[in-house]
Amino acid sequence: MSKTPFPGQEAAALPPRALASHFHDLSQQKAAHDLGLWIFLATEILFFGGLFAAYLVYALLHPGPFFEAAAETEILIGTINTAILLTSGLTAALAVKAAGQNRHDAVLLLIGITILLGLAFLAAKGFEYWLDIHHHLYPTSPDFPLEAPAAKLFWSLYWVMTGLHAVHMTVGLGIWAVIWEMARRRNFSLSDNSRVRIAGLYWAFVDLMWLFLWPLLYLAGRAG
Amino acid sequence: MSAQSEKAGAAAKDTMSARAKRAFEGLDLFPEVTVFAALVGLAALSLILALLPLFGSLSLLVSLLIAAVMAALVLIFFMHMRRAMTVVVLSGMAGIVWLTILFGLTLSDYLTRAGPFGSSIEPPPAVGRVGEGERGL
Repeated sequence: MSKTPFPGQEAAALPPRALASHFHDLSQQKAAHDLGLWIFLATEILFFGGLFAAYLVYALLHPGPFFEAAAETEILIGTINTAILLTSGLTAALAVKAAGQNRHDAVLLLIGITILLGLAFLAAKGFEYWLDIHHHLYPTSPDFPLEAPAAKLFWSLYWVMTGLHAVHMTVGLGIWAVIWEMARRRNFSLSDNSRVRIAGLYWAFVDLMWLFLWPLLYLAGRAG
Repeated sequence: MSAQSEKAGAAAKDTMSARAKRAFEGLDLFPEVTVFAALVGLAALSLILALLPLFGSLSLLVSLLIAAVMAALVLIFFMHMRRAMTVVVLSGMAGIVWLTILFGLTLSDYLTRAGPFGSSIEPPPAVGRVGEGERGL
């Protein structure tokens, strides 16, 4: 095989699955995938951003009762979940790295661990929701334990913010599960396709949102 | 016989662990592991500072500041911002720019209303009285 002067000619020899016909070469295709996902993530920042803005306004208007309500969340479960998510962020980042080097077994193992950690997060979250309901900590409860009206504002935001995050976790787990099965069947080239890298970006973003939800919902109002 | 089967079992175990070992052989775990250690350390610091009565009402701001540092680590290392094309960095930053506008314009409303902070969102007491009067007529 002689070296070809045009990158497109090299790309033409690759399996048709890796390079879509409307791209010139793999690096252009990868760049387009990255850019597309980042544009999506920018809209996701604003999706969560509306909730962060609501939190900001209510925290400024009713700081006292708002942070008193925040002290009622399950800080132990929230902190364990932070540790679980940070670890899954590590395994996902390593899976992306291993995929770039076509390391089939390592990718399967690392995605598998990421999925298990994600499921552990959702299980802990579910148990926490069960505890919250048991303590009547939802705004429509007739036995809502906190008196100040602003406490209900906090708990509305708590359910919506953690709920939206849990939906993103579930989507991420679904994506990982499909990619794991495709990788197990060796359906696609790990290094030529963007699948693992794109899923890793999405997973890291969901991780990133939790890094802000944790202080806002669990650490607020604890001191003194 | 049993010794033989034990040996076979040990061999099977060996291949399992050997497979796992081979899966990671030569895979460079850095800088990811270092970044992970830093993230766990920062999370622990954030938790301790949040529980201690050191900063009073600024406590949440300290937690959020640490969260911003952690987010930067995740962005740079786990989301490959350090090697990303300019156009990717720009599109990611666009989200943050619009978020700043969202916060800025929202606060420019709430923080600049007349009267003491927060009073303008209380229902004006006169409205209730007018309503009752009309119903009485």
